[in-house]
Amino acid sequence: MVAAWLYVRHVGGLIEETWARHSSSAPSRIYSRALDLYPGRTLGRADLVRELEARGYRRMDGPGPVRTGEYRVRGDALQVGLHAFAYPPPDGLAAGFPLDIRLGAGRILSLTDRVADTAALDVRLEPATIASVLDRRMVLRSPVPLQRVPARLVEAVLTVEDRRFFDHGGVDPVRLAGAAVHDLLHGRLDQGGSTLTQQLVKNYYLTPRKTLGRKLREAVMAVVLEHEHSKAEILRAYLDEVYLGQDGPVSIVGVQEAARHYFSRDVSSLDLAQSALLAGMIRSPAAYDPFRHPEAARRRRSVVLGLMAARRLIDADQRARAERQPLPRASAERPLDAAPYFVDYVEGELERRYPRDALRREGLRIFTTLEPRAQRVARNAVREGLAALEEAHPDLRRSGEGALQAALVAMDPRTGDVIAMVGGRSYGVTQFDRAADARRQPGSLFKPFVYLTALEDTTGRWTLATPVADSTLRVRQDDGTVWSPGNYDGREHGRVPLRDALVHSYNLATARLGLEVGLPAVVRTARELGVEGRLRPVPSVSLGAFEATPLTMASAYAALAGGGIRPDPLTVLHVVQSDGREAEARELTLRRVAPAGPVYLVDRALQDVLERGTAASARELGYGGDAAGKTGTSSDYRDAWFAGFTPSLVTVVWVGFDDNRSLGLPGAVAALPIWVRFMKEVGDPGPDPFPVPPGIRTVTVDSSTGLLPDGSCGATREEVFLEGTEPTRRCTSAEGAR
Amino acid sequence: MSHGTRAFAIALLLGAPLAACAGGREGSAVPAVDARASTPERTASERLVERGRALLGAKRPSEAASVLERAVRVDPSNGRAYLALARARIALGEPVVARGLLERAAALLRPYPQEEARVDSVRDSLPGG
Repeated sequence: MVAAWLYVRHVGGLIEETWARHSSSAPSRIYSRALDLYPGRTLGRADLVRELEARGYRRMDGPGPVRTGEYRVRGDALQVGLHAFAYPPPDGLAAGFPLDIRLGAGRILSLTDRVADTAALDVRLEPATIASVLDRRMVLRSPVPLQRVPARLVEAVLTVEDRRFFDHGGVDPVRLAGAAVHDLLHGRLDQGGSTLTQQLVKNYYLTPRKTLGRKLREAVMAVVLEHEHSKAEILRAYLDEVYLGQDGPVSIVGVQEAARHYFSRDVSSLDLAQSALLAGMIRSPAAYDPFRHPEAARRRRSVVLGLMAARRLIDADQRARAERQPLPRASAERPLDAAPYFVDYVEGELERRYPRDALRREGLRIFTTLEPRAQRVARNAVREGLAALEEAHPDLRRSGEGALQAALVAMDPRTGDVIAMVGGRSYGVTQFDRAADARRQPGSLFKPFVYLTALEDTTGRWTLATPVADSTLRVRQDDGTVWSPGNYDGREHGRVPLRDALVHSYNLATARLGLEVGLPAVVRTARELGVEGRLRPVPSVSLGAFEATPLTMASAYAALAGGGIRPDPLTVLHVVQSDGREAEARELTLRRVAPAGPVYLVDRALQDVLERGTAASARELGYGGDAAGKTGTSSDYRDAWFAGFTPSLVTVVWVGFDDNRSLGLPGAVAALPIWVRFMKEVGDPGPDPFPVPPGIRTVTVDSSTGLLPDGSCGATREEVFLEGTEPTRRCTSAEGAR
Repeated sequence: MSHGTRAFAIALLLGAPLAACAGGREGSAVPAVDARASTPERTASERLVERGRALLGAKRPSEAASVLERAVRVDPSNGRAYLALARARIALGEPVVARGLLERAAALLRPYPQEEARVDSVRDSLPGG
């Protein structure tokens, strides 16, 4: 007797501990940006459909009203059953409603709230879930209050799983007797006869083994659980814990997650047919998976509806209507797979503040800057770009972890928002994030910082027209060695204007310029722009002989794109606790790091890089927009880079091997085509002129000397100057001929 | 619905240029602030600027900042959104953050002397001028 009492006490303690842990545990979710919808917004039908699919909306082709989580395409109009969504404060819960979107000429023409029959002005497509931070069990589970579970679903579940739930005390003797008779007749333990309470106990505490001892323990624990908790609490826990299928390696647990996974809607809006399907799936989620076995799922739903009708929970009409309802179809887009490197980076960012266990169990909601469309295009650009490169250069082909790699970072320079990040060609093969963690030599990607340092010189000594010698130089370094760089084409180009030296990426001219303006000043400029790491004022620094990540380079180039104002890179915008309170908001932070005038001059020269410089092939590859950029190639062709930007988008691409093997190709051949693939789809297709800051003068100068032409010199060209630095002297015929 | 918001809504429904109702000073109508003032992005962003200003006026700067950051993201070329966000940051006791935002506001609003003067006046109010 005492032993039995002690056992029951022990079981009671075990139950309470596990109960408390399970009732609040939920994985954190990482979301993309929401998509603001407003009349006039550029958005084509195909893109809108992809955005809807990425958020789990299901296309509906048949008749009948479009319900929450569904959309229907009718020519250039879409009907969307907009989800409700809880945004971070102060916006809070935005109600879902049926929305009509009319499109035309690649834009939104109008938005109509179909219930109110009025124009909808402030509409957002809620963020897409890009990841859930799961524990080792890989369980996707979201607790939901019982009040939000529709009565139909509860009725359906009780009908098929435990009709006498409200009458028994944890164990159902009638059902148990039936199961025992069946097992005796068949000579094995295969009829469960379990109540909901017993199933919950089994999920919480026990192994799935079918032994008599385990069944007895299950029964004792079920009775104790019923003693300690109300029927409502047990029902809620069951609905939160019931296993309802798989999404790849991830287990779908609980009716809320199942509603999202199978129907793309909140559990509260499930209808009769959907409730019957979910309830029917409990017996065997794999066998009745509507995505993989639609016919079996339809038959099972029919059985559940029949049982509900037999219990007079529904009438014949309701049953017939539910039977006719189409089964859900899997969404075409799988946003959970789209941004694994970005997700890792975000988790790393958050782990500095939130322990990993909190991320896995506390149901935080993390709102990020990722734009699903840009991310998808970036991922494809990297995959297809690398495949094309290997096709053209078969010697680059390697398999597995030794394969040619690439990274891409795209950032809005006006806000610092990282909108896309690809850290490698296949996360499945290697998870090392080359976008944020690979420190590689940027090579000529660094050169604009040397030119910016010169143009910032307030004495006005340097302009884009100032000639600089592109000729051999030998520098004795502090350690006694002699540094003597060469140009990529192996030639010297004589005296060339600063602009041409940058446009054609001449090493000799740039190295000389770095020495002239002072290497400490060059390093200071780079640091101001956000280049971190071991930057030392040695001559080779001007040619990018140090190490930086693609993310760092994107951040530095954002200052060039932003007229000298640098944003702090942002990936996380808000973290919201499970109770809806904001745990953290990361603010948009800008800082002027360089004067607008000199930055404008550098930008103008970098625009020329795409017109007639090292990246002129961008035009042949099909990129027609206005942009500025710089190629980069490190020593022995180990790293190929391209950083290109408009005032609204900076994109940095790196290509190379993880083991530092030579690629044998420059940035223009290996990295630029990936940039073009990305920008052709994501970059603004129209002209995106760089705003002209005050104090800029345009003057016609002699091309070779940078002086005012006098008619007897050579060719002339337009050049931009900071006010007060324009040439005042005319070139002589002797100078012009030089 | 505030007067400003209603004005935006009516302007949008009528297809009128936003300039007609996009006040540069709280509660008053002023001429267009820039050539992009009638773009869809600007219209959507200005609605949020109005909402942010209302929150700021109601002494709810944290919420205002959140709404105004959204206004910036909807149209990152809207100088008035940066200006309003800078005011929210000042109200939150973050002058350093505000100064960076004012840099961008100044760069975007430079062609519009009235607006630029407002940026300067806010900048002058910061510690260190």
